Amino acid sequence: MENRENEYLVDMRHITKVFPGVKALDDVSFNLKPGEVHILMGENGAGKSTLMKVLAGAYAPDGGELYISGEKITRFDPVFLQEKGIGIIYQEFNLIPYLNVAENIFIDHMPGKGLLIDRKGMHAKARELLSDMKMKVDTHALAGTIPVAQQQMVEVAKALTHDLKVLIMDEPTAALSGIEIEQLFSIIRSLKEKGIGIIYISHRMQEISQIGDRITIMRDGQYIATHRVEEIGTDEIVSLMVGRKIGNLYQRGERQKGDTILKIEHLCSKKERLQDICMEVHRGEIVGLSGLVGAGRTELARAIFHVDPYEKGTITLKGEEIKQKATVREMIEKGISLIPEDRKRQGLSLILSVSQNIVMASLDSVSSRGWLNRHKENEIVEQYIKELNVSTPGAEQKVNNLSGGNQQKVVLAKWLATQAEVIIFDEPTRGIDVGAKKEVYSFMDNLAKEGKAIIMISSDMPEVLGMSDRIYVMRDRRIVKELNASQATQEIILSYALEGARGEEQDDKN
Amino acid sequence: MIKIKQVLHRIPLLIWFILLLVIIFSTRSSQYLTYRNLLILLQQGAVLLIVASAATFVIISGGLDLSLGAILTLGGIAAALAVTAGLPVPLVFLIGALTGAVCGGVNGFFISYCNLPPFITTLGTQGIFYGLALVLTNKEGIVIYDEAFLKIGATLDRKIPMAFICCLLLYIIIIFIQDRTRFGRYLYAIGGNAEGARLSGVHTRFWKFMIYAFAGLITGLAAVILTSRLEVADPIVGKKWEFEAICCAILGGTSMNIGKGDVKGTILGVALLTIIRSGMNVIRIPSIWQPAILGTILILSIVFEVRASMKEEK
Repeated sequence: MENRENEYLVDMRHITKVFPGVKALDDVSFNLKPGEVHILMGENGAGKSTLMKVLAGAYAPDGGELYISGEKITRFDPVFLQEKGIGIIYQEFNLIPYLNVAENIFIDHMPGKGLLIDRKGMHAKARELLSDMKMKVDTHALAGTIPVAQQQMVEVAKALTHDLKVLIMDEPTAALSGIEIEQLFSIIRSLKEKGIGIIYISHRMQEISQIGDRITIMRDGQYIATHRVEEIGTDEIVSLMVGRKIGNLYQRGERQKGDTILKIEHLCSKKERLQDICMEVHRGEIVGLSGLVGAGRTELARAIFHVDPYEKGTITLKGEEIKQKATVREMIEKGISLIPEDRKRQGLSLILSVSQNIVMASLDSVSSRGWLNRHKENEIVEQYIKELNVSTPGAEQKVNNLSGGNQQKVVLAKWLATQAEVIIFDEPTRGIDVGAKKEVYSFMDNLAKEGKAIIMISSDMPEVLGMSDRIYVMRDRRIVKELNASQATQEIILSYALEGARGEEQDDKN
Repeated sequence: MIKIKQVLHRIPLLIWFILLLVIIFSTRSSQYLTYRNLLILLQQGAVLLIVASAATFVIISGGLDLSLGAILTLGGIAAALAVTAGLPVPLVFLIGALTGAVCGGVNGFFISYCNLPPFITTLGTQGIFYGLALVLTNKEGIVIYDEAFLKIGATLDRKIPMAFICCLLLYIIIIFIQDRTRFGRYLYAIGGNAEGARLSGVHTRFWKFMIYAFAGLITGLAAVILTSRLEVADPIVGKKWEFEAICCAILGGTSMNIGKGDVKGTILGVALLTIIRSGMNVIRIPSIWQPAILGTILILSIVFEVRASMKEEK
């Protein structure tokens, strides 16, 4: 063999992993050089996470070999591989909310003598680590109270306390906004300079060229291809991922803009600090709600849906003014749906079945005097499973066992079953694969064509531009701009979303 | 052949364990596996089945009710007072149920509308309910002489006891409520993901309140039957019932924290507990030792059950 031992930090050769009934990894090879960002892409269920869990020692492979810095690894144990320099940041953060930042960073090896912790030393070291990353985080703050972006930085710092050679990041930008993503990228670049190799899992196309050096694509547990990032275009990546040409991702049929169905005037809320929100939505259109994380988009949606209270302003639905004290149930009855952003925490009950989840918000229509009509229930459930193409072994399957894309379809089904006419989608495609994304888009387009009104909150710029007819941009809890789809570009939206951009009144007419 | 294996595989471990115990006990005493003894077992298990169902409901919803034993006591005393006052049997049941529902409602009010943790709330109300029981009875048991009322719980020779039939009927209704009503669905919805349920338009506060009130209500009904069987309403009769009820629920596959469970499984837990308790007498374990041994067996079975269900989930 040629001398390749020292070239690669990580060299995984012909890795196979079998779970009962599934070949999760089938002869997958993957390698990583020092100081490189290697992007790993594939649809949900392609085997990315399984491969990374093998590398982190969470799973032992059934076949193949793993070398780290040329050394063959035979023990698959998370602590052992951590000692070998592998760090992993999972999609769901693992910080302990009621410990402070420094304690979280040093959770597994707090400095000190005997049983006592050297608190001063620990905080000093933590501050040093964070300032190396150009991060201003109070090391005394409880981890649960700091913003998500900072939590992620703390995760990175935590990984750095070990002698880190390889950092695996699983969809690190999923919860971050534009500026925060930039910050994360600059940290990644400084890690690269130190010779640390980074494996980066993401679904966001635009990040590939921004941060990646090489890209490996997986599909159905198999290795498909590895390319240098500059050699490969988005279309090719997508078709490699799905194994077929996907065509135009965003669907835009002939939508007929109808009369105003939802009108919001001067809405203010003390609790969520919403300020003087005015907007209107027509039948047959998709309205994008853009802005940075924290701009107040989700809060506005929750106020409209009466999950959170508002004190001033009026909401008019189908010409009827809604009472401030109306309940969520009443809003559902009047024809509004809110499809929440966090499907695991807010959208679904993971432990319940597909069927139970689908009828959850519309039990009224499948029951009389409190008793459920099983027949009717099954009918509705089957109808939506078919209509949305949910791939599940059966209606009684627990939602927990479905892939992210199919879970999201169950959430959609649940809210469509309420026969809503105004549907608010909050980050409808977060964390789902391209194939499922396309299905969601064509679904939204169909709803608009049927004359329903859609509000779409999204941090994914191409999605906002590709799907919306009109776009409202929010910043600091107020709406700062309304744009027609034809006049909107990524730059224009961002300039309004960012603070200190051009004045709002200056260019009303473009 | 394969099919038989699959079927065997699907039978819960608990049933094998129960069978094993029955075999052990019956080899130790020829008196054990008799029709008469079976009837006694049915009668003993019947009331526990209802209280354990109440515990199961509360646990599915993500809560806990440590006051069920105290509600059982107070419900029994209310029933006894009603009987002594000469009220007819149906009215006695109504009063028992109402007493239970009010007690459960108090729990529900504090837990749901005041956001108190179920553990501390029901521990507190447990004290209050027992305290009221002492006040109402002046520390003495209320002995009951009313023949019509005592018929419900009477041990009749060679006949299936009325108490068992009543409880079984109630149990079937409870199963229906769990599986076939909106209330049942909300139970799981709240336990599985309360925030998700709220965003789905479920009035989670109201339903959470109702869950505790319902648990109290059926415990109150169970109390009436128990009082009829014991022929006396004793102010400390309910001690340890909440522990046993919760054990039965967990043995039956209900999980303490994720909205998982089924009142249909609870009957297995009740069967196990009833059999162990009666079996200890059969093999002549001294009565002072019985509580410690029972507690140990229950804890161990739960360890077993929890491990088995964790495996299943993986």
